[in-house]
Amino acid sequence: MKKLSGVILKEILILFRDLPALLFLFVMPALLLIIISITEDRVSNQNKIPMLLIAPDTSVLKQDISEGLQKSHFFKIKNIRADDSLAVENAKQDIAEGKYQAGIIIPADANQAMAKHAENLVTLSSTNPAAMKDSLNSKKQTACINIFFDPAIKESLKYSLINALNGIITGIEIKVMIKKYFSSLEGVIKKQLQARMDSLKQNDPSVGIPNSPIKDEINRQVCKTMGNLNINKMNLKIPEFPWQPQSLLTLNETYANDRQNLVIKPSVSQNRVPGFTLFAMFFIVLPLAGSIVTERNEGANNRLRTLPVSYLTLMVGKIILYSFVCLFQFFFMMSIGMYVLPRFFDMPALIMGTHYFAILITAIMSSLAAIGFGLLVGSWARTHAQASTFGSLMVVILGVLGGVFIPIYLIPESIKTITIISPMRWGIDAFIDLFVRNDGLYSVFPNIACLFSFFILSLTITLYSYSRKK
Amino acid sequence: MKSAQPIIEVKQLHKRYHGTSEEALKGISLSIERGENFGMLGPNAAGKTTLISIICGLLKFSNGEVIVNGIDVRKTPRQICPIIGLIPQEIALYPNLTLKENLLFFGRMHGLNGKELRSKVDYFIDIVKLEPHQSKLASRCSGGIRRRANLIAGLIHEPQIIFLDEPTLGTDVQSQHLIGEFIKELNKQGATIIYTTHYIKEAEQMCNRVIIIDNGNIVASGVPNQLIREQNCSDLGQVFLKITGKELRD
Repeated sequence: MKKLSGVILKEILILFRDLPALLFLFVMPALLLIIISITEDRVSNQNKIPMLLIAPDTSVLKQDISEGLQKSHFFKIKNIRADDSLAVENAKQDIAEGKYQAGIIIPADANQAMAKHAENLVTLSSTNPAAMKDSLNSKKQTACINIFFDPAIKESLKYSLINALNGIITGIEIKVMIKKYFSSLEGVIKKQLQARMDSLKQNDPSVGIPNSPIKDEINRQVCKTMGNLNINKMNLKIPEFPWQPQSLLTLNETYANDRQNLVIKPSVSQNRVPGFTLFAMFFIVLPLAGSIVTERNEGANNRLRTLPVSYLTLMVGKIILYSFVCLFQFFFMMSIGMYVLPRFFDMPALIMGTHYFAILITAIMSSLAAIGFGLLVGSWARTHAQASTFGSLMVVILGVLGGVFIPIYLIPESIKTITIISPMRWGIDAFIDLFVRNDGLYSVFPNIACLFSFFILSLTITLYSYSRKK
Repeated sequence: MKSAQPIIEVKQLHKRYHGTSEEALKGISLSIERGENFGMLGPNAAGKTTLISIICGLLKFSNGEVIVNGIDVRKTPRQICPIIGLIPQEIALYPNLTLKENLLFFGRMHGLNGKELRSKVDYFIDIVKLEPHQSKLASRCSGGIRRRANLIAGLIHEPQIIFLDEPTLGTDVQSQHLIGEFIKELNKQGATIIYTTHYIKEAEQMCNRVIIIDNGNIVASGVPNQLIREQNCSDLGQVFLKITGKELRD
């Protein structure tokens, strides 16, 4: 224990004498977090958003909505047949896990319900306008389209999708209503024309006249008179139709996870702070790998190897100290998200969710993964310059792959498969689950296991590489 | 007092580095008695540092046997750590720690703590005249000061066997004298010294037995004066040149 504390004391002294590296750990990621968050908040993204459209194959609505969304060139639609409830549940699960940003579920009877309701409204418009207005206001009989969102969806994206859907739905409703209204109007006008005709017949000079060329001529004259009549001059009564959008179809918005009331409002802070926190943690590679390379190259390593202390103890000393640095970085970045962004930059504050233990465990495991990466680079690099150049570049690359700069769902498919190898992605996904989806330890366990396995693997490789160098 | 039991015994030691065809050590055998001041001489790349590294357990070897204080180095290399002290050619100090912090760290790694550690550090700092520099970062000290600190960092635990690989390299005459006297004193106190140097005169004065290694073989061995007589030379330097030749080595 005293040897270990000796190692830690030595590491503290060395770490705090490398002030530029220490500053680099805090200042650079903080700057990136602020600049990129502000930029992203103001710049709209034109990439396609993956979403699901769940409906029976025969649905006409499905066709119209799918076409409408695809015309916007903003969404990438995957059609799912809603033949069984399992398909719907699986789709909801995928959305809840963030594989898709949203899912639209069109019930099998939506089309029929919409048509029936339209017909009702049209009938009421001519027979009982007051009842029609009540029906419009109550929206009791409207067909319902359910839209499920990934709890981590960006607010701006969510509203873009809702607006696009509202536009499409309005278009569909207009089409249906016009069809129904005019087909009913035809009957109404016919009825009034018939009445008019009947009144004309009362003064018909041909009444009682047997079929004859004279009668034909009279009829021609009547038709001619009717044809020349302006519909306004005819004083026909066209029923009022106070229709309004979404009176046939309503959108039911909800989040795709089970704890609707616990969903935290997604924001730039919720989505960005975890990413840049992981990014900051992985920059531990600079002082850590640097310290390993310096130890090895400046001769201290030879002496260390003749000391009655194992290399593992020397490494554990480093790991403990650097874990504390990483955890301090974590709380530092969280406090930027919670206090600095809202206070000084008028941005939404970070809300950490309710699973504090899971957050702490994830932070510790992320720290260990970052340290494991530092150990790997340190055992591989031959010079300090190699360690710092390679280390920094790799952190940026892992950051891009991990979704620090661009959300994973916007990354092209070809690259998306590679993102799974980035330990930063495991950490970011876990934090997003905890912060935005408000998931618990159980949900983020696979990510935590990956982070810890990466650390153990890195430590094993480092120890093996050390023993091989003998 | 010298004991009959050799403290270091090397038998038919072979070492080939990975990726090389020629052996760095070609069947070296030697025996070092407890309390000896033993010199290893040889031109560059003769195999001196390789031999020391193997005896210290830093390098694996291809064939042969190395026994240090009764411990088989191949089987249990870490067991010899508490009884050996290595002063490597390179300055084996942390540049961002002060000289005193370096000594405290290496002392702690040897299991020293508290007052015992501090008094030993102060004692060694005093012996090699480092008091005015003890609070300076190692990276900011001159070569001579770092060399002295490098020396005592390997001795803080008072090992039985001390390996000195070019301990006076790059130092001035005063420092060489101080280090030489200190090593003699350690030897008088009973430590076994294994010394490699390119300063042949230094070895002649300090060591009671020397070997000359060349191309991975021991080419001469004995008491310095005896070797000088046997080779009809005036000093050990001439013996060295006569045996190893004047051809430059890599």
